[in-house]
Amino acid sequence: MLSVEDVVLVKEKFFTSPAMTSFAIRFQQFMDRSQLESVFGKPFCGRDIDGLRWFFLAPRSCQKVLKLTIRYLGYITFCRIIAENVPERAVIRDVTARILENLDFFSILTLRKVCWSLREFLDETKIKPNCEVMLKLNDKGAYMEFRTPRIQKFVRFEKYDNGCLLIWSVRKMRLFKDESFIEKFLKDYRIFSSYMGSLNSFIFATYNDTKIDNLLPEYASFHAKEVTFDQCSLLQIFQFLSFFDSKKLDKIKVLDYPQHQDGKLSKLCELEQWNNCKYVEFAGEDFIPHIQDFVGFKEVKIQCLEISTQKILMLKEQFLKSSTLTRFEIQCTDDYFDINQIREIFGPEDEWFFGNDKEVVHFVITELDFIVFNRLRLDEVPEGAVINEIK
Amino acid sequence: MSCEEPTTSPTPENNITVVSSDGKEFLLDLKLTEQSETLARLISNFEYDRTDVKKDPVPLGNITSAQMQKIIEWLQHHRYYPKWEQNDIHYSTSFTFETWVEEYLNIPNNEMFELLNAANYLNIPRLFSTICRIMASRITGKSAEQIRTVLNIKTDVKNDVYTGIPIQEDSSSSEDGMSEISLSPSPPPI
Repeated sequence: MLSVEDVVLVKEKFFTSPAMTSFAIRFQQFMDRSQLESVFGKPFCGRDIDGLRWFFLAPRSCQKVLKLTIRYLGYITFCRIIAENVPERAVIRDVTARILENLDFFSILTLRKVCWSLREFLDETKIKPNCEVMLKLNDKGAYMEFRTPRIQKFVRFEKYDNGCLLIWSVRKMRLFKDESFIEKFLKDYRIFSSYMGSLNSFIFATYNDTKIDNLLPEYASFHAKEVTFDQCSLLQIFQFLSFFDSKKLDKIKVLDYPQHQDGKLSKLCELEQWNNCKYVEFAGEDFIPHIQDFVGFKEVKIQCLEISTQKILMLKEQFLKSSTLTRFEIQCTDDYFDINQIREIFGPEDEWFFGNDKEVVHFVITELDFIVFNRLRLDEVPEGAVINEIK
Repeated sequence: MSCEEPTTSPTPENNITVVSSDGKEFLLDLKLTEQSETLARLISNFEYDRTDVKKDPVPLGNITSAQMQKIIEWLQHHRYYPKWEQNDIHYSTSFTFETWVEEYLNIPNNEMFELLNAANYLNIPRLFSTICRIMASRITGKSAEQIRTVLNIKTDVKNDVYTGIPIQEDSSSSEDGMSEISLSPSPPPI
């Protein structure tokens, strides 16, 4: 049994020892490549060799290099070589990757068309383009926007009879007659996601009659930090949210939640995407929230029709008990909550503090009639504020 | 970034000699070597910054005399810039360059790539980052065909192993090969 730590140790010894010229180890169980890469960086691994190779420059010389080879057959060898014997390709790969890191995603897509060796290189090294990506999808088409400090570009995949019309930000377009826009979009999205890892923002805008089943095949999978549902029903949100990688998703935004929908979001609470997410914004003109559906988040922002005093009391209790909630903000359409009743319960002011020796929950009705619960440290409490002690 | 005016002239004590791959010797002021991690480490390890230590010429087997000449020009221009070891320097990601840099790097691509390798070998981060950005700026916004011209690359279309038919491009949203239909006015967002 040989660990990556052992290999690191031998490497360090090799550099400090003036006597060692080569060192070979035979082992039974192959080491995890990702672990090796996290310690030594990307290996130089051309297809012509039967293992992984790394080259390290000796600290006291710009001429001496240590070569580490891990063969798939179960040998590790260290040997000293001179700099001239380092394969040029090992250096070139590293240098090329550094140039391409400066490019935006569109330039990388174009580079993939220059030649196959470049495409293979790009796909192997997974250059992470420096750009923010926003994606909009509905049953009429898909829209991807790429933003870098230098460039802002978009591409649209539009439904056109049985085909797809591609439109670019440079005011050019191309028609694909026999492929649906969703097939075309998903094909590009897969290339995109293999490079980018995750989107900055994904907006799913739809109408009540849009059927997700028709829109996305089973194998679709999205990685995004933030997803927005615009005019989506509870069922649509439920169906579409499950396509997202719950580990990447940080924020869920529901805008313009349609009228006459069930206020209970218990169906969403079944999804790990909903439960693992930290931030949520939920807005609906006639939405009446159930506090319990939101207490698992870190920050919550709700725009709703009304909120009862009983629910506010419940929220206060939940906030005091919760280990996750740090901010909860509610805005009611037409200010539909009973301020007088709240003052009767908590006191005549517009802000109240509840807490113990360690932390304090701040409850305030703002000048714009927002109901806000905030978690504060003791030193953040304004001087002279009365803290209602909780047991 | 502003440069200070030089206050001292080099003396034999604060020089080292480097030898290029074609055998040409270059006398380098120690101040200049501070931009290069490789040379700075070597000088520190062999204590070449001390006046009582004999300084052997340093062979740089990967660098030709022409490249060395070019690198010295860079080092001299950046003589009073921060040393290589100041990792907190955030190198620009912009594609806008000083006039001096544009003139300095107004060289053919093959020479630029060799210079980049030399900057990588000597670990001169500012030079390395600048060349990477210049090369990226020459690629950005170009079509595949234009990039082939810039980089002097011939396409190597691959055929399907079973059918022998050229494999179709798998990305459709890159702009290469688009039709020339113009849209007017600007399309509304979805």
